[in-house]
Amino acid sequence: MVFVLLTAGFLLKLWGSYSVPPPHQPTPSVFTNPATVRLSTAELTELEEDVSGTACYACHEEGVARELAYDDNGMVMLPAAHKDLIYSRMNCAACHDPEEGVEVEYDDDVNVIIPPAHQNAVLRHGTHARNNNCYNCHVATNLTVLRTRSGEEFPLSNTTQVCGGCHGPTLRDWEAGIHGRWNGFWLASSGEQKRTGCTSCHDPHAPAFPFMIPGPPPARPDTDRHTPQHDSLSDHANRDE
Amino acid sequence: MPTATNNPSPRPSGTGPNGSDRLDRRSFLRKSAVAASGLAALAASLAPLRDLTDAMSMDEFLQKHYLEMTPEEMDKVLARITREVEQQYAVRPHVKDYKPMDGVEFVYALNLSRCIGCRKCVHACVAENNLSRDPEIQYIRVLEMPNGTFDMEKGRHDYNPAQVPREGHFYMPVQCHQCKNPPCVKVCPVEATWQESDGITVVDYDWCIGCRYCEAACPYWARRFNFAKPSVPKDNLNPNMSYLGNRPRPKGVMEKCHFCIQRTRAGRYPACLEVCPTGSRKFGNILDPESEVSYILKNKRVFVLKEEVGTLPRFFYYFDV
Repeated sequence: MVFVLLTAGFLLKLWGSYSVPPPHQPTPSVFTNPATVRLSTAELTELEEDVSGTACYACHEEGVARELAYDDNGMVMLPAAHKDLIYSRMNCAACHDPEEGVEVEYDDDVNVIIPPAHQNAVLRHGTHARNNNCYNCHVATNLTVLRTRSGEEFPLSNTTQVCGGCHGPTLRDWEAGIHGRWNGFWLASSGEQKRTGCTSCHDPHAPAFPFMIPGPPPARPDTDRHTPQHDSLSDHANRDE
Repeated sequence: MPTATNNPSPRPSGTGPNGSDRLDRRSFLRKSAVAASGLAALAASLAPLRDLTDAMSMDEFLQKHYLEMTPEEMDKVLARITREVEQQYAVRPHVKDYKPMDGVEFVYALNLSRCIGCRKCVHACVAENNLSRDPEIQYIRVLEMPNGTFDMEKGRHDYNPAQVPREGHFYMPVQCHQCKNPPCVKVCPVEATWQESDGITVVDYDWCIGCRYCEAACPYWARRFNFAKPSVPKDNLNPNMSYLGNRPRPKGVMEKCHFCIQRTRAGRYPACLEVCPTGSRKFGNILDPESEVSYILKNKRVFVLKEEVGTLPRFFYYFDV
């Protein structure tokens, strides 16, 4: 009789505690494709794609240094055309499935609501306003050329040495293959080792790595821990006193 | 005195031709009915074996241990696997038995300063290695840890914010550490798992008996058990397969991360590294002094997880910046 009661109680407990995990959703392909977050000018040039965004002298007058306007915080005020230029260099396939359309949401004034993942694509290089000066890297009279602090000049498609002018230890790691991506073959004799430059992952105007939407979590959540959450060391110390 | 006389008349005997042991019609029918129902019950009780023969062919039943197979026997096994995969998934796979290279020992390094917890590695691994979608099996578990602690109890793997990384957290992917002193190999009662010369601990899925001792022995929870027949969508099957790696697993066996044996033994990087958007993951040959991992071990302050348990992992974590 007691056994029957215990069994019934156990089964009831089991019935109450067991919950069926939610049905599995297929993983979007964006979580399995190895696309870089951005497409650098170097990559676009190599792929013979549209690099009109870097045709500075379609709008600017060549040989004339353009005056910059600053706001009260000492930040460069960007014209709308340059915000567009910055967005257009993101590699959409890194986060969006080309098969699925992106739903654009609007606010009350019918302006597009920019999702959080795109909001850090503004002029935000480092924490100081003085880092956000166009002519730190661009040559004032020839915007298609980049110049390091030591005066060496590089085309827009070769940015690593320009970035390394300030970020020395990072450049050293990049040259050793430690910083950044190295795809393809670890064994050079088996195939090509594909390396990406700085601007394939970092927006040079806002180099902090963009936020991303995480892939779906495991179907089975973390269970509540059975171990006590208090600090065992302090607990032990209290006991000694 | 009366003389004893033998009774000449034979006593009627119970064992005579007219006795009860003669099989009459009634008892024959009764006995044969009992025998027939007994046989039917036996057949019914053995019926599950009929299903079993679908799951395991005679070739598979008689198959030798991986390390004892001759190349010809391995060719037969690979042909069988190819046939079975084709039957089940309608995809013709390229199943190979990739052997370790000479002078190669694989090491993995992961930069915790760079990892943003996007879980791309988790899902790329699932796709590359034909992991079961339902029930779900994943080799990589990304822990979201609060800044300032390495108490693994405080890490959670089911985080799901709108965007990562979250303020005040760092992300720590955990997978098989391919230990040099692997406790999982020591506990296996049938030697179905062992360490190869390039450092990868592998499982012979056809030799594993599913006792799960290795799962209990692993301090990193890197081993997974197939509680049910793995389900992989036909159109998502990766046809590039290896015997010790990503070929479809049967029900009731253990599996684990094998550093994408079908890629890395062909000179490629593992899938989790290729897909990492931040370049946090580094992989290579530690015996090559020019490799990326050699540079990391020489120049970065690396550490291993649960050093005190003495497993000597080949998976190193480090912070830089």
